[in-house]
Amino acid sequence: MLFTAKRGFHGTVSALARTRYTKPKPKPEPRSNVRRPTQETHHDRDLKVSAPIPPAAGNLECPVDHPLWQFFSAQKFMRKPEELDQKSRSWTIPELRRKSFEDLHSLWYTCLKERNILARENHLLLHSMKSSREVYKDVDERIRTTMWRIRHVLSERDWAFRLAQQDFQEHQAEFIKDFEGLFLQAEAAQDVESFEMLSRFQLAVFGISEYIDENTVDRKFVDGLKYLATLKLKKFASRNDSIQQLLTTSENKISDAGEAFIIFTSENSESAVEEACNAVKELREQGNAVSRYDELETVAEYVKQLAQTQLETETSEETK
Amino acid sequence: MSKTVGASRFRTAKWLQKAGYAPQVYVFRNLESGQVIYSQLPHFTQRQIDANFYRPNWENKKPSTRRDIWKCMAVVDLPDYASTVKLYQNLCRLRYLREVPERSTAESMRKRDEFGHIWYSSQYRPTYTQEAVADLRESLTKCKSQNITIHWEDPWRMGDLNKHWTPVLPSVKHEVINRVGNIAREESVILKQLGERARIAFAEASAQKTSPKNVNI
Repeated sequence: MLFTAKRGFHGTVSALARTRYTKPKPKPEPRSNVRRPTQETHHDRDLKVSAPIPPAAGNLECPVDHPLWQFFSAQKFMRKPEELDQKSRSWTIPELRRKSFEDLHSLWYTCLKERNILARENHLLLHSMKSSREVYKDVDERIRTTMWRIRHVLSERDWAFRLAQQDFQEHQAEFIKDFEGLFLQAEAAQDVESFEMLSRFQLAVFGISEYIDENTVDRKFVDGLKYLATLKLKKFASRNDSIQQLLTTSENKISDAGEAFIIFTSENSESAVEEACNAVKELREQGNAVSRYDELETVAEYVKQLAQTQLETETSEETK
Repeated sequence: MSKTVGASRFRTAKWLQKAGYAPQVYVFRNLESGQVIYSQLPHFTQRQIDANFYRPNWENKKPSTRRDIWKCMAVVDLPDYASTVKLYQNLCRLRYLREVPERSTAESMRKRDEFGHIWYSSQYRPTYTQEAVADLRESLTKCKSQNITIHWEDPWRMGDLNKHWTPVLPSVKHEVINRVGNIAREESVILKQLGERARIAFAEASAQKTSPKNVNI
């Protein structure tokens, strides 16, 4: 036999070729530099769905002075009808006429607060409790009456004041003349009283407050300033020659706003007024006069500066 | 600019620590609908909303990311970063359980109106917030660590302390974020300050653990 070996097809060799290990492949050696996973935690497997936890109002603490308590009477949700003052009555107009503005003001706000409480309670009664009786309405109506009466009394006063002012316009010149006589005739021993009288007079007639920063500078203010400066000079002229001299040289009238301001703001004493007079004389020598056209602006500036310096001295005294 | 910043993906404990965040979990609630999302960071993105709403429907719509109608409801301080991640995972898992496998159980516990719908007033359904409080309690019970603090935005929302919290979790501390000034504009600042405090506390605690004990010779 030429060919003892069994002859196969041409694909037999590749079919029988060993393509994988017949023995299992050996495992690789354990590595020393293994990186740990970045995420190690996992959710739990025994989680249970539980019932919702409702919120608890008991956790809340409301301060006793909470502003909204003003809408409640004695921190009660609602008053019973018998707790209300059913026998009460409104304030009468004659009663209210006897009260001062401050009293009326506080009474107004007391009424307003009480009406707020009643309105809240009434609203609850009507809408939440579906009641048809309006037990809170009667008390509320009485308070409302008090409130319109307060307005009425205030309006009466306002009209009285306006009418008095109108009336005063007619007799103003006469009144000022009377006052001037009274003020100048008073003796030196009564200076304190007469200057107190003057400060009331200046407020009533010219609207000039003794607190300088409260004033608004207008024509009336400046005219008042001039008049008061003249009056002040006249008061001390009989006691001091230098003041008398200034008064005579200026024809018994201060007509310059700057001069008037200096004299007006000086202290109510002879020496202080004399000092102011010297300052005025210096001004005249230097020829410093305030033009009548710039009066308001200039005096406003002076007032502002004076208020500023007063404020500064007050603060420096406080810090001391 | 890369969008993969901050809260836009899941964050591991290591990342949180490295990025300088505190070991805290944040719960935000929607003021309009009462829905709640959980976040690992003091802010949220669309990702947190997607991760917390698995089966939205007309009663539980996927909320928007409008920042003005989301408010931080609670911040949970935990002693380490691993447990914050675990807590976050548990919270998300509980939400999944509620919405998918145990939906019927969850639905049966919800308050209904006379038509059988989840009780609502306008768009607001209070049950979602209440469920979030229950979930928070449930997942905190799985937390092994002590020394847990919850900062509540409103003490009212945490529920009855003696009934729901103290019997189950006696060691958890409850604190209230100061209500004065806790407005939308200031919220990020408040959360930042809370985070800063928690980070300092964490640093101190870990320093105490690593420092060698004093040995008397």
